[in-house]
Amino acid sequence: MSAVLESILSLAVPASTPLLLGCMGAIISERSGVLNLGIEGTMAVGALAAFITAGMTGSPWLGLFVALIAGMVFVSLLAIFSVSLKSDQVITGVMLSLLGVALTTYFGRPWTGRSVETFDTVVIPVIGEALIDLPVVGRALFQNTPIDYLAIAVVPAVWYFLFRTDIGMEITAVGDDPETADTMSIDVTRTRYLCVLLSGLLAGAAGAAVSLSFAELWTANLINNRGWIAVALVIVAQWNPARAVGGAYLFGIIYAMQFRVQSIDFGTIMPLSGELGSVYNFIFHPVIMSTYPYVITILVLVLTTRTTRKELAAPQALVEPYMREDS
Amino acid sequence: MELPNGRRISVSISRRHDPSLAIRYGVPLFTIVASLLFAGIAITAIGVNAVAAYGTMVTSLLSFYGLSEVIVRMIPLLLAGLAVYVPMRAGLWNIGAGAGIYTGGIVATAVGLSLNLPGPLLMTVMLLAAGLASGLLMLIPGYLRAKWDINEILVTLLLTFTMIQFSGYAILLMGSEQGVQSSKTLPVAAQFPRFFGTRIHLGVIVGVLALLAVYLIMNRTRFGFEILNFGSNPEASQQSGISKYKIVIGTLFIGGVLSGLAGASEVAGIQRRLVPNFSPGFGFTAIAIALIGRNGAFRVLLASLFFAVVYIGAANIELLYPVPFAIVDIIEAVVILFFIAGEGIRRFEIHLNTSPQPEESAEVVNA
Repeated sequence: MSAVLESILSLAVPASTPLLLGCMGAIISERSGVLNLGIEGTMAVGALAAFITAGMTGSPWLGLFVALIAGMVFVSLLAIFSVSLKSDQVITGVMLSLLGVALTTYFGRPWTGRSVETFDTVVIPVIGEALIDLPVVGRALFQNTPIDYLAIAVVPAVWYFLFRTDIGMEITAVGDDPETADTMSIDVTRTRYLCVLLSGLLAGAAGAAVSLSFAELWTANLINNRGWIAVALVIVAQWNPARAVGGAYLFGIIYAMQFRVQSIDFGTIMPLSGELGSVYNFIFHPVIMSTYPYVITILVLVLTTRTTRKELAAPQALVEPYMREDS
Repeated sequence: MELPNGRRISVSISRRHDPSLAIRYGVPLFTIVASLLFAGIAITAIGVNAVAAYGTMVTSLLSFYGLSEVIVRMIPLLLAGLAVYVPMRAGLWNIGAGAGIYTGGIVATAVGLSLNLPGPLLMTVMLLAAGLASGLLMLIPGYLRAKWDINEILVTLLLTFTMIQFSGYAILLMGSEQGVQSSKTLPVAAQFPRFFGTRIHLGVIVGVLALLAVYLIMNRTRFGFEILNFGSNPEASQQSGISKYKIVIGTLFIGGVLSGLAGASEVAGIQRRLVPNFSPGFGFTAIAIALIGRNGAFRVLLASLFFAVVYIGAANIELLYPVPFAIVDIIEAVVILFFIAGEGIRRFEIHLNTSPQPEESAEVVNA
């Protein structure tokens, strides 16, 4: 049993990395009032940019760097459209996702099935070396790729940026009430551009995490809805980076279980397996489990709204383009 | 606000008054030319002559078969477009047409495989069951929005991915023998008849009836009037006694029914069994269709015609040249993005021309 648990956890941790990075980007963007539904496409662009760069230069680090740039360049379309031209954020984001996935499928074909230099797993010095032999969690926690550790490090950085800096306060102000923010001489357009570009940077990193760290290959549908799950994760995290960690690992575990669940015999570990056997078979069916991130997010959406009795922690001006009334 | 010269200043800058002729016709033209140019670069980039490819695209579209395929493609696009259009008129975003399409496809397949009825009756039951099931599914975002103001964009989006994944399970349940990735084939009685030796099927009648029904509901009934009223100003319309529950849940239910019909028609008319990803992004294209056709049901029809032409044209290029199939999605996404850019530019122009800043104008007058 502990072998199964260990194999689930050691798959879940790297699987959650792209979700966590994508979610950080989506949180920053949404807190400024811009719903970025282009995360899926931006991740695809980042993943391919990283893969090609690593393939041509032999350096995964350079690949990661190019993915950050590519993510920002691609997502700048969302900023230009939704912030400057006031176009609808929903349709623009969805079309950017369609475009990103299609463009990378189109131009990535020669790279399908090639192997490039990717990130190797490393054991964290000192602490990791001491704890690597912990049962079940040792390898899952202390033997990962640099990008997995970076993703964890990004969380407190984003949290500090959003909640403890002046710019973070301005972002919240712009996301909740752009009119008032504007009268307080906060530049709404500039703030939203900054946030959208940062979300592209992080989504680009998330893409690199898939192609150079998690999957270590390039295929047409590599991102496979991870970007959409990252967007869903924002709700589970209640627009708070710190809370995204638990959600990302939960979704990572659900993902890992889809591949490991066949090796679990529920008859021995679950109560009433005689009577409820078919129920367990349904609940833990890999295909059914693949719907859980979305179903859980809907439930979180409902439960948090009901318990907090207010409009969630969601930015009040989410999805609303901002135009000065008098201009 | 009234200026000394008698000109009214509109406060709302999203309103556009009399765009100039150049902008009115220039923007759509720009959309099409820019999209063709962009896709042309993508085609040239992998070593295919884009001009020749576009030439083939036009000639293949103009053939009898090409035109019939455009109509085939219009059926799901029109139904899904209407499914987004109706809630949009109430100010709601249904980006879950995909959820309805998959629900409709699953339910239609289940009914078609399990009931033993004569053809016309069976097809009617399939359509009704598919529409009802998708409509009921859309009660979830409808109720959540009406009761607790939970953002319907997020819920419908999440339902889409839930149903796409779930369709994989449905396929396993209704699977055929040798591990094929599809359900059993529908019995002949459940397969929609096709007409004129083409793939145009019974769904075309479903689409026309749905279009007329939506037109009549929106333009000839009290409910349609209330939807428009609610969409333009939810607070005021509720004060005048219009029920938020009725509008929000009602429009999303109608949207669900329409997208369910789209899924049922596509499965029973084209695929004839449940296959994974039988909806290649119809639900997302539907958003663009509704956006372009948002001012009337018949404009939704025209927008779905436009996207059907784009899709079939791009698919023909893919068929005849060594171009990856993703070119279809590239062209579609680029057309929509340039279209929105054009809309934005058009609005931006207007607010520069006809809405000078009141304060500044006042200062000028004072000076």
